[in-house]
Amino acid sequence: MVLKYSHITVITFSSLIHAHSFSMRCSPFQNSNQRIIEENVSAIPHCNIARNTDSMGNTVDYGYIEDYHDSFAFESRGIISISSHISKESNNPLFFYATPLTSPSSDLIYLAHLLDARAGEEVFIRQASDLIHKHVQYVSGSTDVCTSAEAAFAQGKGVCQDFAHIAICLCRLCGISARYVNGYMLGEGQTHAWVEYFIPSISEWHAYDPTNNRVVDDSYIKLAQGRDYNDCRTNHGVFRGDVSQTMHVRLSVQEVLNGNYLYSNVI
Amino acid sequence: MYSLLLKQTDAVNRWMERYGVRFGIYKNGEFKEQLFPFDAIPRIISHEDWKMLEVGLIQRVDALNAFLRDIYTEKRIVKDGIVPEDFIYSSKGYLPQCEGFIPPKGIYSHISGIDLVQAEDGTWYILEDNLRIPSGASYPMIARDLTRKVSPETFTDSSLIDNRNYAQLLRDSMDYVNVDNGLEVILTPGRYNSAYFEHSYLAEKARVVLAYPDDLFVDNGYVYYRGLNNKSERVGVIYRRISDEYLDPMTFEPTSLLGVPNLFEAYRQGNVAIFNAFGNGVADDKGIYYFVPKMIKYYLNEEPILKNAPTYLPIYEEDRKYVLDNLEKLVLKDVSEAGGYGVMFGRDMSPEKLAEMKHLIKTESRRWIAQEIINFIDLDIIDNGEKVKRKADLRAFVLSGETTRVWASGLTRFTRNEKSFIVNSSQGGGFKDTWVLDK
Repeated sequence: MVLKYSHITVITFSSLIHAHSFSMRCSPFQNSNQRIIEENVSAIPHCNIARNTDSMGNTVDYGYIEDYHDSFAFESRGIISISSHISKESNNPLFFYATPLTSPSSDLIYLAHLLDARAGEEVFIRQASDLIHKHVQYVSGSTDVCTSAEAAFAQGKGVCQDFAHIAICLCRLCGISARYVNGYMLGEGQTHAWVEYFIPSISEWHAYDPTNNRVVDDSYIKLAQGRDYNDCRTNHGVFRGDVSQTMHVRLSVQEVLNGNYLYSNVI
Repeated sequence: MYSLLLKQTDAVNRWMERYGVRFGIYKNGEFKEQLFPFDAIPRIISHEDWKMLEVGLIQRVDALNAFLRDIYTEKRIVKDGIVPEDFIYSSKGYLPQCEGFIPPKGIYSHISGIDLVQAEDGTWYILEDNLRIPSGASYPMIARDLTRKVSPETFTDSSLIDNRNYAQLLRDSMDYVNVDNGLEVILTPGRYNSAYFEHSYLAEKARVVLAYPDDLFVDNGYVYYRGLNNKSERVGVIYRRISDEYLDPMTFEPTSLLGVPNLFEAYRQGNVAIFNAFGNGVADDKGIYYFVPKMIKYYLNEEPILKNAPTYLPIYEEDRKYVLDNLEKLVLKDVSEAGGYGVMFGRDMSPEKLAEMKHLIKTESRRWIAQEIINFIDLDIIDNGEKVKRKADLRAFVLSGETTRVWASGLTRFTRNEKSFIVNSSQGGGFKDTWVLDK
């Protein structure tokens, strides 16, 4: 599928701030499944944007604004062609060890006992996802970025990030390497999170969306991967100033039909 | 050979007080600065011992640097089954953010502080490796300066190696890894750090800039020093005295005010050298210590010259059994603690405590190492005018650059408490000059 995306983050500060450093992980992940047709990032106030690849392979756009300002906007936009979300890539033990956000509670360990990894990883992830849905309800705003799998599970409510963390925790408890993925989904108004898990017999990573309980298809754009949310933070900043801040995110992901993207390239 | 010097002990300590040679200690949440008492009787290391220590230390540090490079790239030593996988991935000092990155010139540990003790039979044993921010070189540096000042005759008579080259060794290593010939800085968290005296002293002696976190910023992938009149200068190497977790709030501890935002990104792009590298904690973990002799064989194909203290890892069944049966005569160390904390002697434990520790050894075996207690040579110190014996260790400083070199000196620390075996300066105690004889 060919997708056109625009992701605008606007942060408004209650008064002037300065010495503002930021780092963004909202450009598409670079691998052979995702062919970037065009891609651009920009910031207001205008500043240098440096680009780096982190240890997980994620693209990091980062910069610094010395002067006083009371709002900050960052846009990532582009057109991308997605073939699938299956990648031929070896296992990495990094995605097998628990992190603070994905460490198990006794309830989660109990839940893991109800699952059987011998049926194969693809069956396992569906079963795990079904089980999570029996215990956890999707309630937007019910958790924040610091909520662990264990805490979300205990309160029985969560958002996509929590569904992903719980699924990762269950995979790892049952001996399956799993990683967190942050990305965009066709039509969604905000970033989404799902998981990738490793299948040793064919040495492939496959993707599953526990929140929507479905296999991740070519209508998803992968931005960043990591051990948990902390490795994939979309936006992170440090500045000087005693202010309150509000953030607005505008995200649109649309399918581009009949090679319309060529037209946009000409402009 | 040092009798003249002894009469000048008080003079040396007075000078040190005037120079502010202090060591800060956090106790019960309060910061206290105290003088680091100097004892004038030097530790004397014979020329033959030193030759052996020198090659042994170089060998060890070369192997540790090879290990760090391997761990953050291919992990051959794990794949070949020498070091268990979980010793890497569940080590607090292992930083996944460093995966796949080789720092400038391939050096990870630029300054290594290797702690040794000498047993009663004269054998030297390695106690631990410090590859993150080993401190302490400034104390013997200033002590030698002051003892030469108050008792110059002592040094015309003695045939010891002149150790006043530490600042030059440091500069050589910094120059070697400097990226694009940028500014060289020592980054200090500020005056409330326990080793602030050292930061300022080393900057002065090595003639590099002493920078505070606010002085540095990252723009367009490069690190800059905010100079006078807003004139910014590109930085090529940072000898940082701030630990990994506080060094960049964007990548590590987000609440850190001591860090430089996005410093890690600039480092990962190869635009600045960080001295010592990020992620070295994986190699000086008390659990990894056990594997260092194996690393020497694995990477260098050499026999280890310096010995580890006999060490047991409870994760191995045979070792666990030995530790449980012999805990009363062993010393138990919590691998995640540093600075002399988390060290427990079996013989000091009550029966309840012994039972509790044995339970923990069984349930959390990865958390502990146990070692035989080495009866190390006591050194003479002067306590209230009397000569008495006290436990002491030696921190040797090894600098890696174009070649690996050992500073012919070191920090000899001793306990002031006659019963104590822990000589870490975070726990009080004093220090001595270390004389290395040149023939």
